[in-house]
Amino acid sequence: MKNRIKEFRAKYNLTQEELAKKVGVRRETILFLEAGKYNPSLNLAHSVAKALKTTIDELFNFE
Amino acid sequence: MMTLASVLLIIGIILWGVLDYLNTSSKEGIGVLLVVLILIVFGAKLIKNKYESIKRGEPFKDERSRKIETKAAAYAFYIGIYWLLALSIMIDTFKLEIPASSVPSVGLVGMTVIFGLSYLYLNKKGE
Repeated sequence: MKNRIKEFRAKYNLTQEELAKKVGVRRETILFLEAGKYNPSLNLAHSVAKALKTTIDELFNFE
Repeated sequence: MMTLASVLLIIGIILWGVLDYLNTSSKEGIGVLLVVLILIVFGAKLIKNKYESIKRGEPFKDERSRKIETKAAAYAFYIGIYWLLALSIMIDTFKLEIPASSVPSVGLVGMTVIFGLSYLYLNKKGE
């Protein structure tokens, strides 16, 4: 699943580690999320969207 | 540092125990020792990675790591069943000298190795 996590992360000057700490996951999870190699649960998608001050629809492309 | 020393001490004790138990000049002994070493190396790598991530303040487990463990365990179970079947066929066909009492242990070790390899593969590849 494609996403704009890296774009939003750069907007707020967050490293993967910082975002991972905010969301409560491991840094690897954010790495795999950004690479589109991991599909998050609804809970995690919501937490990431909240941490990046955006919505799930803005962040993730379900097509 | 103390934790690393403790881990090395435990590994040393296990290796000493295995060496003491086995006759390492025999082929079987060397084979078993090799498998034990692979398991120890995998376990040590896993512990090291977890330790480093905890030092960074990351959670011990998260949803992705739990998913990978569950999937790897499932692979170990499903492939392990076929491994046990193949083992029994090999024992009959090639007249392998494995005592009946050792077959479950060999099967379990195979499942453990499959779990380890599946875990490493899924961790690298992603979903």
